[in-house]
Amino acid sequence: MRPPTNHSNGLINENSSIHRSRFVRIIEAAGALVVGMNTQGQITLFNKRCEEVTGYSEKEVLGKTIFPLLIPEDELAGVLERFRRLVNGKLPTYSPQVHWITKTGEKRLMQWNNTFVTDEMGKVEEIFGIGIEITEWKKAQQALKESETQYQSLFDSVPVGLYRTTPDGQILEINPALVAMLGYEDKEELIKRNASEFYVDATARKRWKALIEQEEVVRGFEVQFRRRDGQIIWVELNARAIRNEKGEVYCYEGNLEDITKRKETEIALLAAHHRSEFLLDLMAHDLNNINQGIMLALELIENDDQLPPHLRESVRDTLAQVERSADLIANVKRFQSLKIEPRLLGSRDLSPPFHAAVRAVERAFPNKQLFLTTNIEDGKYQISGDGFITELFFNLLHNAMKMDSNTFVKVEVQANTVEKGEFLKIQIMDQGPGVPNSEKKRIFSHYKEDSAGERGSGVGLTLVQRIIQRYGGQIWVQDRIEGDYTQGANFVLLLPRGED
Amino acid sequence: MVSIFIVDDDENLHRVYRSFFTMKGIDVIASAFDGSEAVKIFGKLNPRPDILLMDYRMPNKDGVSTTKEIKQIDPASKIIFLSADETARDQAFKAGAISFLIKPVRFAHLLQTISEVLDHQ
Amino acid sequence: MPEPTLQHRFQNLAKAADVLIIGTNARGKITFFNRKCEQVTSYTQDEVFGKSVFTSLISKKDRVEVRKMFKRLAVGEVSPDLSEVALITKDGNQLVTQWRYSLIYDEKGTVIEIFGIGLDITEQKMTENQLHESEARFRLLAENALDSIYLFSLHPKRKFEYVSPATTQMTGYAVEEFYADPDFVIKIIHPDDLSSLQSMLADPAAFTTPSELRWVKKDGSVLWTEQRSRLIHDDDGNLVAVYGVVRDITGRKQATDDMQRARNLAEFLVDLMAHDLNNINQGILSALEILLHDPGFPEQLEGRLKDAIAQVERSAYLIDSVKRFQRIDVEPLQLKLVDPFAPLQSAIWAAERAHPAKQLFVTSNIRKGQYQVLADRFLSELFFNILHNAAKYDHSDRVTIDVRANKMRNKRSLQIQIMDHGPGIPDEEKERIFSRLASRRTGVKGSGIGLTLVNQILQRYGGSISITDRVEGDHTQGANFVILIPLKE
Repeated sequence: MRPPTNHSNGLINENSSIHRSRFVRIIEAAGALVVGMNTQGQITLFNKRCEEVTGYSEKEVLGKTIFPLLIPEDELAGVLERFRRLVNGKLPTYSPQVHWITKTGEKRLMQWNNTFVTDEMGKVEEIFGIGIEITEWKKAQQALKESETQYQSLFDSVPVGLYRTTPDGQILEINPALVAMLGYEDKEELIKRNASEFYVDATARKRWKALIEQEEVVRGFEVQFRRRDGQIIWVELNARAIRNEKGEVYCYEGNLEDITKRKETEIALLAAHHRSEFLLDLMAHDLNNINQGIMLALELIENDDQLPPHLRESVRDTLAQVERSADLIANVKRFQSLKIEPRLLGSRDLSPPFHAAVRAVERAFPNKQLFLTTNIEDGKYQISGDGFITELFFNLLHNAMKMDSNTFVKVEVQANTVEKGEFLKIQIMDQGPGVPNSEKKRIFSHYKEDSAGERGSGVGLTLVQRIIQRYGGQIWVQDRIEGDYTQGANFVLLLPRGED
Repeated sequence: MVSIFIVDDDENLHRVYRSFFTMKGIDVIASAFDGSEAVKIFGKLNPRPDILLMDYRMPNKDGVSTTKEIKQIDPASKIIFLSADETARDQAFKAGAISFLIKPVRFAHLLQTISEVLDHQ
Repeated sequence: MPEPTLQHRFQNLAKAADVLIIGTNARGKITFFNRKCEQVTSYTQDEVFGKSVFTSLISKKDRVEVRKMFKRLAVGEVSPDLSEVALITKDGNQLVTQWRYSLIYDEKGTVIEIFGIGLDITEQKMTENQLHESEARFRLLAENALDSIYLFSLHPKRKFEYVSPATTQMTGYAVEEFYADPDFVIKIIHPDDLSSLQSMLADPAAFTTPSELRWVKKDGSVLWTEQRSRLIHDDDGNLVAVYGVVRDITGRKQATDDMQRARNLAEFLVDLMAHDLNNINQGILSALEILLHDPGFPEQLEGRLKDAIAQVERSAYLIDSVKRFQRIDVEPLQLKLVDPFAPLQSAIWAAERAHPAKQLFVTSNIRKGQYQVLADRFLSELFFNILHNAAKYDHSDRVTIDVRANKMRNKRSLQIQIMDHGPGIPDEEKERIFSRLASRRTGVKGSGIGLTLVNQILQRYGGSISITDRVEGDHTQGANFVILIPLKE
């Protein structure tokens, strides 16, 4: 069988060799639904595909009106209206999407192409619909639409700025949060601007660009932006570079947050820090300078032959106190550097630094006398520590001396090994006014609550606690005589032991 | 007799240094209270001092810059830093200082350093 | 129904059908081309009859695929799926079409004709693509965001409607775990923040203020986050959903904590040093006083001892200034009208005391009751520091300082010039001298704290300070500190 070649007008005429069944087969096999109706809407043709999709046989439906048999109620009015106009020749062919209801009540969506056949008089005789089922396609479409809506509402509603810009700064996308952040009325006004216009420092965007082109992702880029009203805000940029198939960056997308408040806090914090460091540095420096003057003046006096020998000792004591001042300054500077320097703890004999502290305290109170009983002797106890051991005991003993209003101050210091030999327990017992229970915990952190105050030795004890923390030890205060704090305090230290 | 040039912005220190050095038979031939003044005076000093005692933090010109300029005028000059700022140590040596002492120092230590510097000659 | 009628109907249908119908032989030569095809492609049937469907109609990009399909069709394999093919019209436009195929066999069962029934879906496709693009645009912004983005609905059911992939990167937990359990967040919150989260959940309005929360990541480590949210209400004002963004701030938190710690430490050390050195100074001072009053102490050495005592007092002054400096920021700002006369006089007195070895000659044109400036109790401190500074750097025994005040022309502030005869300040130092904080370790000492304090006090008053030369152009003739303090309105 040869394919037809004689088509004078594109129609398949009566004389062609194509058999009628061929058309039926063509259309049916193509999976299209073909339905024919008379002008009353009665079904005149219902092909196999229609039977498959609806579950009705041709026999069942022939002669029945297609509405309401197959058309769902909510679409009926529209379909009827179009049908009437079609019959009246007032509607050319058109392609509606209409649902059919299957025999089992399922809804299937069909894309229809309707056309009509006229008699010799031009009157509509019969209407045909060729339909393709698009239920699945439509579902996918619907899902996509929903997803689009969801993402769009996310985009519109999230409380951070989202944007997409081209490398040369054209704004492709910008969400309402960002529009508001930059102080613009609406998106259209903003989108005409170039992204680089918002940077207070024009080179900042260049730096950011260089960074993102190299790193692909840039997080936490902090920069100043100028709002529409001229106000300057700090923002944090998080963005990534998006590349096309050729690997070229065609846009950046990311988010942007107003961090002005945080930045101000940070700057204030930093300024406060700088100020304290400055004061520390200045105080350390200038006081050392002054100490130099005092020290040399005292040395001149000490070395002068006119000075009676009994006063020479007292001048030397004073000189030792100047040295103690210099030591403290050196210690503070070292303490400040603790945060940077790794800890250098080593095994040390407790006795020398302890007794150095005792001597320093005695000199610090020339008008008082310390009666110390202790079992700490050279070579007896090793602890794991560093150069702050003297400082530690000085502060504890200084505190005991200071709090005790007597001229003769009794202090007992007892050391013994505990915790299977891992720790050394040191008790420093005084007979001063003691520490009431409510104060026992606070006493080591005075400076925080009461940094402006001058009460007690808060600062000294805070330093004590910091040094002990550094050594991995512990400190607490209890009553020398359990239950009666007025009988004096007992400072208990647990310090990690060193190797013997 | 050993001669010394004291550069420090602290007046009180000038007084005690002078008393001490006089007692020890060291001749304080010049004093300056800041770096610029020190350079100016040093340029005119003849003969040059055996030793310069140099502070670091001073108005107008710090000890390190001053040392550099004095070393340019006289590369043989011997400069001992006496500063309360330890951070300047490396810079001071780089600029040409011969010794670096941290304030406060005892006279004994200062004297010993001076004699070491002179012996080294 | 009689056959001729049916055939007639089909012919008419084919003729008028609003679908594309193309027939070809097994090798793809066109044998049938209906009117709809003519309309959409602008080719007439005569132009395409006998031509290869591949080269005349099908776009290059689809040609290989369609040829493959025709090969399968030619042996009778028909796919039930729609095939999408791009056609090129006579004018060169591209159409997107969807096709189904049917085959005509001869008696031996060989495929002799292939018929395609097609729909022009170009417009539909365009809409679909736009939708795709738009969806992708918004989706990528959410999916690619480095922050976790979520949508949590409270009504009708409490559940996560959306959780972005960044959440997994941040927490280590799969997004499915969030979808499966609306209370999953309770399970992964850091124990210390559980109560804050619970109170936030109880009153979601709390979500709108940015809040910091800690979480325990799947690997056990702690995640610090900052979260911001927006609440969505229905028409009746009921809260139905929360949109939120959660940012990983662990790194920042650590940096801030470190900074906070460093700052606390520095502040603590300043306090410590001030406190303990005061104690030591007290000890030294007492010892020196005892020496001075000892009948055995040689008279000739008294001057030296007094020098030492003056130095201890100087040390106390410095410590005091430092403490004041630390506190000046804390003191609440309460400006009142102050007559500068008394503060200046007390400052002169204090400066004289601070320099017992020198004679101070301070001249002033400020009369009692002449001016009222907006200031507070630090005004005297301000004058003292400038006078003290001038006396310190003037190495002569007689220190002359002239204080000259006059109202500015706009009457808004009082200008006070304090002129000394000291070594002066070279131009390059003039600006730096008040901002020691900014330039630590500049190698300058002493003047640092006093003048920085002066600047800080003036900032409180909304005033300013600058330095000029007492004798214009020659800084070595002494400095002129020019202060502006706001007058009463």
